[in-house]
Amino acid sequence: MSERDFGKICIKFAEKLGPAFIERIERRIGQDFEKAVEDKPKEILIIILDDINLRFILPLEMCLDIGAYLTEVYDIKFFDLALSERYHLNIGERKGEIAKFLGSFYQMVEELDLSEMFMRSKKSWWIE
Amino acid sequence: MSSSFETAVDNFLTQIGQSIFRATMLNRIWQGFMAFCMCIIAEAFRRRGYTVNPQNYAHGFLFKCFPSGDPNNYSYFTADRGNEHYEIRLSVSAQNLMYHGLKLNLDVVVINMNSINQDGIVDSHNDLVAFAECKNLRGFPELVATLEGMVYELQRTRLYRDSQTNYNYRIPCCLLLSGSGLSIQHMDRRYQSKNTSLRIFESLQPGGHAVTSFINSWF
Repeated sequence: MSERDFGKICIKFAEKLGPAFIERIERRIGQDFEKAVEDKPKEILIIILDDINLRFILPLEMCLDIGAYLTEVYDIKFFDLALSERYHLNIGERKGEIAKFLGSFYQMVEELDLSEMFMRSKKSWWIE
Repeated sequence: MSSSFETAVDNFLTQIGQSIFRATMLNRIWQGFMAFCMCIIAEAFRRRGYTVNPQNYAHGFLFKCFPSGDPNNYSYFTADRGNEHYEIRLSVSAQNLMYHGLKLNLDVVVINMNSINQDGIVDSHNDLVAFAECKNLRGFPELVATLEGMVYELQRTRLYRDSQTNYNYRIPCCLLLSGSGLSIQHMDRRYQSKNTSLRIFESLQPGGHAVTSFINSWF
């Protein structure tokens, strides 16, 4: 992949995720986003993916882990995250969707040749 | 024609904004980290020979990931061993009732059984065994200052040297981070060297060694 390719992908992410996302990346790098993409596109793409990994991918991975833990250790099949009094996110019914979303993230980092940074072990912490 | 990496990027990005992956949900999914922390805390007790049982889960386990609301409407764990009978709960308010201190909402608490009063508050002086603040973030110094401030308000003497030798503080309060905590690791070393009943655990991620390390070494 060329530097130009990395830059193009950075812009795709920025367009999809919007100004708040760009501002957060700018705070982290202490530089104007577009200028940084021009100067060091691969580095910025890694920072973007790292941010997505921490904010979205990891919590979703955790949700799948929680489901497996509750089922395997306590035989509880369903769980919800009560995000407010009225809004409960039912994870049990969404496992398939979440797994597909996570799969597409890992497929993407593999295609970008960045697997080493984002792949994780499937080891279960509740099994001694 | 798109290259395979472009297709992979497009496949991923297309899902953002759809179904449960819309911005309003993705911006709140970090709260899953609190639920994850509650589970690894329950596991830490189970690993030490406590009998851990889920409670209040007739319609599935309901994690209370927000501060308001009656804690008794949500699921929690109990942990029992000998004369010790605890509850492990999410998002519970605690207050030092002896000093009429600030009422603080804590992410995960370990409390004496049946100690939430009619106002939904736990007396930190008598019934708060330990608590954990959970941040789905990389560590930075202000998080440590916040933790210490909360401990100062709720259980001041926990901040003293050798507080871990006090039976009431044998389980450290902790800051649990999903990201790395390079800039604050030295504080955890300081707590350990002074035998202070506080800890910082970083990089708590599924499949990571840090989770096993937390379960084995927290207390």
